[in-house]
Amino acid sequence: MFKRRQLRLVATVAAVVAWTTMAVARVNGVILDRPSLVQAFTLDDHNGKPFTADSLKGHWSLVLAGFTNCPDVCPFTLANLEQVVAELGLRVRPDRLPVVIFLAVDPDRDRPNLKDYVVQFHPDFIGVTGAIDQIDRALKGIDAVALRAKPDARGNYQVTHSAAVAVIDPQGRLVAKISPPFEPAPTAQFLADLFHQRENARAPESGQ
Amino acid sequence: MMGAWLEVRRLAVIGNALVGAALVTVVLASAGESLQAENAWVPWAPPGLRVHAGYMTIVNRGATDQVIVGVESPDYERIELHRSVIKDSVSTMQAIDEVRVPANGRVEFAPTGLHLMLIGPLRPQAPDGRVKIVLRLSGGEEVDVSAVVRRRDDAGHSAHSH
Repeated sequence: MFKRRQLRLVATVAAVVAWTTMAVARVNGVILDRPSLVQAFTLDDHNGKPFTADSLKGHWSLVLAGFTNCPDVCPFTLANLEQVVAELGLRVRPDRLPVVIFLAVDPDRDRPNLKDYVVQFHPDFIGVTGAIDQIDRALKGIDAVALRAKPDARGNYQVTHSAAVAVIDPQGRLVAKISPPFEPAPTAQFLADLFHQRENARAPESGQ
Repeated sequence: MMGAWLEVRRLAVIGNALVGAALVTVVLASAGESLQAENAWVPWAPPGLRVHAGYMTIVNRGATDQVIVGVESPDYERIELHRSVIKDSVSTMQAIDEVRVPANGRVEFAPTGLHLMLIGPLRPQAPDGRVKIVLRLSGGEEVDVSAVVRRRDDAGHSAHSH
């Protein structure tokens, strides 16, 4: 009986330690010294409507590169971004919430499933893809890479791509990058601080 | 070795306290086999997607290492053992031939790391449905796994992440 009680105490302590560890804030965010304007590209969104560099303007955006045959890292990131945006909703005004954009780099395989793949995480997420040269221009704009490996005997091939999420400001400029693990609360706080800081920096220009 | 055993006991007690009878059932049902899969799940994916993932904790309560050399499922065309590697902020997926589960140890198949790549679903997936997975060991033994299909944002799985 005593032994059992000891075990329960150990269990309680272990549970408390686990809980505390989970609560430790972790965010891998880097703010660029100089924002860089995303250069022109022309892609289509998952509804077939044109999506260009100008589509990034007027709101904050979180852009990640990936492909729909990616079962592990891409869904993990998208699911986390959904939670990040939900957390941000507690910290910033609705009009400052970022648009999440999934840049699909494997267009032949991505096109048929892009909408289903993206909206499973949130109905407002946008999947974009198009011609390889335009995808590459968009990748360059967000300082990301994607390499499509040669197909194997079964016609399967792997795609290697940047794991970071690009943060684009309402002027269409790359201003920051976030890398995994994208823990929702600290990542949301990082973004809220960034948005706040940029808004304050711009305040004199807008005549205040 | 003793430490790992104690760890298993401790986790069993935590599980006991948290979820009551559920884990006990798992432990009882799996007694007698050296290798067991716990908390196996397959993230729900919309119809049309040809590639899914599978995650689980594989526990070896035996005194010898076990090596997983193949994975099969009646629900998929084929299954590969994969590892995601994020290095210098670039994400790569590597197919691997085998996974060694040390004696009295465990191996985690978890997001952004080791995972099963389930290729070519043979029937539609439904949330709360089950996927049958068979792990083939180097000694010829097979381990049956029943994975639950669950949405990624389902709160259930976070309680079990270590």
